Amino acid sequence: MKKLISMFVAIACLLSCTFAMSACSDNNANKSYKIGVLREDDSSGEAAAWEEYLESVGKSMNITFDFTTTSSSESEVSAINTYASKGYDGILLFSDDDVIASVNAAAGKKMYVVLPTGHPTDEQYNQLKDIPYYLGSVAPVDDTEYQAGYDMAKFFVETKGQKNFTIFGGATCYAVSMHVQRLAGILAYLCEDSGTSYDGVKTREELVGKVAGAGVDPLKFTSSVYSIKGYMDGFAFDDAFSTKLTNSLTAGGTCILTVGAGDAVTGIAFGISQGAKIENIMVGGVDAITSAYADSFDIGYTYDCGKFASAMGPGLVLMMSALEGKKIVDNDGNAPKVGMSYWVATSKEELNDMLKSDNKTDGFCYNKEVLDHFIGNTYEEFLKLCSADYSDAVEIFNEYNK
Amino acid sequence: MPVKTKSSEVLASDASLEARRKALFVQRIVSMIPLFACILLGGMYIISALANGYDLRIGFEVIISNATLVGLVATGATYIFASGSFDLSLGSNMLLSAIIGGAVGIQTGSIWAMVLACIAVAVTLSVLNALLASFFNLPVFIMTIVMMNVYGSISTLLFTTLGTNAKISVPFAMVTALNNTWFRIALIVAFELFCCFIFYLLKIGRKQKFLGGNPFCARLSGIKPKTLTVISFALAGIGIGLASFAMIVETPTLSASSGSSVGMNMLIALVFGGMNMNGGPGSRMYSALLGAFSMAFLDSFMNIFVTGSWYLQIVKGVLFVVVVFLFTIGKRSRLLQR
Amino acid sequence: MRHNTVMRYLKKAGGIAVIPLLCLVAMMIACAASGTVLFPDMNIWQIFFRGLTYVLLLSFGVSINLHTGRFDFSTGAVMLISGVIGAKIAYASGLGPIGMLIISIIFGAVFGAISGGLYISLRLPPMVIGLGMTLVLEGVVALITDGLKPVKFGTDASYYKFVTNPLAMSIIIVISLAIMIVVFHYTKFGYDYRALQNGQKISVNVGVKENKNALICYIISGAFLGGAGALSLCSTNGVTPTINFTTIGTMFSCFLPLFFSGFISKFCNKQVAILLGCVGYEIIQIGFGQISFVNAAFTADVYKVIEAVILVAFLIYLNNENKIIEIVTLKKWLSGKNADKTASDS
Repeated sequence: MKKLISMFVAIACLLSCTFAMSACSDNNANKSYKIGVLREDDSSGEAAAWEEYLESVGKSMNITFDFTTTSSSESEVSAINTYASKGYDGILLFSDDDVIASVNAAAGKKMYVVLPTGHPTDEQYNQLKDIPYYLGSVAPVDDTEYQAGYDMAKFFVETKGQKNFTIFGGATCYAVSMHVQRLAGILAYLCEDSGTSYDGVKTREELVGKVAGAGVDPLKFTSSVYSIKGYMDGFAFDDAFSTKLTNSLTAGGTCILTVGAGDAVTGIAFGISQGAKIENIMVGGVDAITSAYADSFDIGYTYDCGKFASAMGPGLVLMMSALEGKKIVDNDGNAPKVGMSYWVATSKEELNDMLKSDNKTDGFCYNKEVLDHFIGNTYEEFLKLCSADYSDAVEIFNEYNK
Repeated sequence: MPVKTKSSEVLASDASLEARRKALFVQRIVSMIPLFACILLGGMYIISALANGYDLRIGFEVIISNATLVGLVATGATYIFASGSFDLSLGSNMLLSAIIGGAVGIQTGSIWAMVLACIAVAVTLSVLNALLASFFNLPVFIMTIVMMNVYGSISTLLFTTLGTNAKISVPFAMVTALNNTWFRIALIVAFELFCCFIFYLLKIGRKQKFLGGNPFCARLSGIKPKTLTVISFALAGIGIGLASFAMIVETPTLSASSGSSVGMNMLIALVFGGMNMNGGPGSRMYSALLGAFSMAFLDSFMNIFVTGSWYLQIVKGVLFVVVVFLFTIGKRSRLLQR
Repeated sequence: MRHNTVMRYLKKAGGIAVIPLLCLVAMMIACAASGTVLFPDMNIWQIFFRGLTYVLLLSFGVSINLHTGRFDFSTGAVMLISGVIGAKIAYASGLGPIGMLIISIIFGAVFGAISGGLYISLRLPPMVIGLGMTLVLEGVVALITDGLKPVKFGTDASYYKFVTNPLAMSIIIVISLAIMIVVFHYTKFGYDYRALQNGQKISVNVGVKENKNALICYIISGAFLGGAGALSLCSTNGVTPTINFTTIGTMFSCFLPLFFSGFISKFCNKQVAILLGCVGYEIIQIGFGQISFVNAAFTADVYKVIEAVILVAFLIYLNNENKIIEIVTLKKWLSGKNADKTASDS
């Protein structure tokens, strides 16, 4: 009998949920701006910088930001629905486990969504662009990623005179586009030398095809000028990784080019170099402009390219424009899919200057005054904000903070 | 007139009867704790949500959605645990089933082919675990942990080979009609009733509990443990297959992180629901559903007050131990449990 | 008689050495086939000793509870939190790697004591305590690292240098092994431990104090795990903590050495067997690293699957040794044939 009662209560729980759903009316009467932020990564310096930026700007613009760390596509959708139940106005979607499901979940609850750190694929964009609550995406595009890798290789060859490399391909083994493009950029620059090629190819498209999901096989890299002493990818920094990195460094590949996780690789490479008495290691990376990387400059990091704290500004402009009834759309009337520039620092001083102009204590580059100008402004004006490199960003700051 | 007095024997038997009655009452109350906990957590959520002006309708959608995946896997897993076995690879089995089911769905464009593929793969992997454990006499606990890693690694390799950008995307339009709370309710209610029917009304359910409670006697009374274990794992596979399908319906883009927390949450849900992890006659099929809802209510309740997943994690950990401690009142043995 | 003794010793020596030697030969062949060598220079030996020490401490820590049927999910969480606390205190106060190791061991023992205390006082299954402790400790790690911020050593290379110093690692190996042998084989606690391991009910009935024994087991296990956590953190020159049950996976790396040791311990002391199992395991790890260095397709996921297949194959062998020997040596068939022959002769 008890079993039956308990079984019925278990099912009654379900049914009570159902009735409650039917009975309850919408309580979405809150008019203050509340924005939920969904992210997969809450521990990196980049994530911390963005959180500080949003909280600081939010305070001055009367916006409440609430952060949720998600670990899967289900938790992404669950968090969006939780925000909807709390009456939030919009979602900044950093995590991208399932963009389509997440945007549809938010749109279904009449919440605006912006992707401020990544883009949907073309196929996904076609499914999203007509959803009125989808406001667009602002982040470096494939061309920017490719160029970032290309410029980094160029810097180490032309400015630092390096010829022997170790390459860390991050998530290239999983064919993650961002890392594949950066890696293709590195190889494409090296392949500009007439006697250099990778597995018989030299162009961007061919290189992308060769490395996506497969990584780089140093033996397939033929060159009379350069050498790739070792290649590693994935994020398991275990004994096998240490073995590979040690082999590569001792073989002379003391210039390490990373397409992500540069600080972790620098830390391990620094340890190995100290233990094995290898001198002059230098590491370059495309990742983030953060204080963690400033510390890495002390142990061999030499080149830092990446997003910055105020990189959240353009995404916030899209969101606030829509909330204030002046939605920004592209020239075709669709949600914008706009590229964004990286900032690049080639010394600790340069990086510290960038951090000084864009931090919580001294103020952010894209502060309230700057954002006020762009919110509700034209698409062309919005593009200026997105394409700004460091010097442009400083100019923009000066222009609206007189 | 002789005074009628009860003999000391009768008094003693009365006292022991009273003590037994009391013990039975305590036992009954204790066995209802999972139910009370679920109701209490649900009540706390509803009151807090109403007090804060939250939309309860959406709130319950979240709760049902969260409870569905964990509930389906845990309900199926009850067969395994009831018969005294164990499987930690259910979460990674779910992901691998979803990947292959999703790929079949993309290829055929048929939702039926997709759901059948999900179930077929899940049952196959689950039975493989059972075969390895039963026929090679491997320690189930260790073996399923190893298989968890194997399935996880194969999934990652499949994402690279079958997917783009380390993801496999089932067309949203293909599943959008099913992506609603009613479908989830129908799915979990149907599966729960199916499982309860087998567990309580068929011989096999009794055999499973017998095997979990006393494997030696079960063997002597003619129960074939290996066959029964394979059947238990196969039944659990059906739940995993349905959960992988439900996951595709809700989030059609699959990545390595899809369903990542389900494996462990399933364990917590079972314990929260009052399931005896050693199996046996105390096993209850509805424990999984109760536990899944308790956890979903707790998560939603905590989300109202707490920002930052780590606070939620600490509270969940403490509550988990406290609730299990309460369940076991009156059941603790002199020897430490292993 | 002497011949038998010699044969016995030879069989024993063979049994002790067979797994590490097999791993060594297999990996040397695999490396040669891939066009590389297993140990090209001293630097790889440094990594070998580092990895060996780490996995040995982890294996000792896990084995203490695992071999008495207690499966502790909080192994990885204890390692992470002890390592993080040790690193933070040692780096802030300039205590260096040895100071960090000691602090981590102490905190590991403290967290072990908490787990053990809960286990004996609440009398719940160790799995439940382990899951609860994992949730709590991971959450606490997030709090003490200010929301999972990276824990690093800045420009101080002494932490990494310490773990790549073969002498320092050898000293840790010797001390750990000595502690394990003395404590578990030459003390009353050790006798009680083994009595409980083989017959819980009988041991308790004859007066073995199970609660005290279990608590000490958790404390010693925690101390070893704390040490392993410190070495792990030094090996990567810092750590960015992750939570949500991610720490549970940490303990899986000691399963293969522990099952190797299940075979080796038939021929020698169990703790020595664990050490030799770890040697075999670490040779495989280095071999995988060397192969993947020259073959990009040999990714971490591929060698994880291979490692699991080795483990399953070894488990099948361990649990069906007699049957397999019968099949391989055609024992049944031959004995059947002999029986036929005898019958026909008679």
